Amino acid sequence: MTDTNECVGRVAVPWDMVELLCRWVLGGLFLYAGVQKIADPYGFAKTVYGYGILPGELVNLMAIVLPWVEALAGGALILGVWPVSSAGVISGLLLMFLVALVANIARGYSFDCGCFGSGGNETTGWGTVWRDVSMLVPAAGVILFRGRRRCCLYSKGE
Amino acid sequence: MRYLVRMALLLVVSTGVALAWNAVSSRGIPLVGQWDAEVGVVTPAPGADEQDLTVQTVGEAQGLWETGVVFVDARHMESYLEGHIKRAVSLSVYEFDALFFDFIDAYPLETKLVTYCSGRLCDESHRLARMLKELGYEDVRIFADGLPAWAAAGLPVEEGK
Repeated sequence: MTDTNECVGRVAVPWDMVELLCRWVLGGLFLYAGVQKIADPYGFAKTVYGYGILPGELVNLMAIVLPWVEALAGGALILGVWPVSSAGVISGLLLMFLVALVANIARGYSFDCGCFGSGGNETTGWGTVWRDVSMLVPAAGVILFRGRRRCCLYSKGE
Repeated sequence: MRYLVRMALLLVVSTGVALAWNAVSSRGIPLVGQWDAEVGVVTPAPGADEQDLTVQTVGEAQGLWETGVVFVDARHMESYLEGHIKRAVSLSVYEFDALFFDFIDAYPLETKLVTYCSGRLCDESHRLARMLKELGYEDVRIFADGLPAWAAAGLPVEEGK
């Protein structure tokens, strides 16, 4: 980038730092959520069943695979490996969770959210919906950012 | 397009790692669980012989109960105190480690046991049956419909200790 933005009298927002913060926060959250679930597949399978959306044959498979998608996409985001693609996967997950949450609120279900691993006291509700939506903001930020990304292991690939 | 390929690649890699991890981890679960409430208690990891050991109907459970088989309540102690199958013993899976010594003293390993919780959607009965088998109990069965069906059939229920 050329140094054309020497705005006298205005504080330039360091967008590259904002982008980095988005990646670290979002990546950290997903890494943490994934690891919690990987540690207890038995409990997480019950949570997936509790959502009452998937057919029985797919419940265990989802409980096995989903936490690793979260953890690896989160890890990639932190390290800066394919940031746009990992943020894309995470947005996809967030949208999927959103549909699952809203579908169950519409049905009048309320149960263990299992968002950051099973066994918590948190139940599904509008609070979890808003949290899900608010995480889409940094995800979109990472995807839409056009500039030089900081601290990326493999930033060229985006 | 490039991004779609990479996202797909990320998903494929995650799936591969997940399946490999699940295969080697001691906490791994079967690829397909038992989630059909018609068949028995729902659980991510059904034992191979468990379906045969499940007591499917209230009538069958009543028969066992009348012959003196010991019913074991796997739920929280508080739930037990609020109401349980008459003569049932409380052995909460949540306090199993603290309680099982006394249980073994009172009931020798040859005792015929039936575990139950609050129906087919709870899995405490399931977990308790597995724990009891690990202790060495040979004849442990699971009453799938549990307390609600028992009470609904008008069979004897009692409160407290």
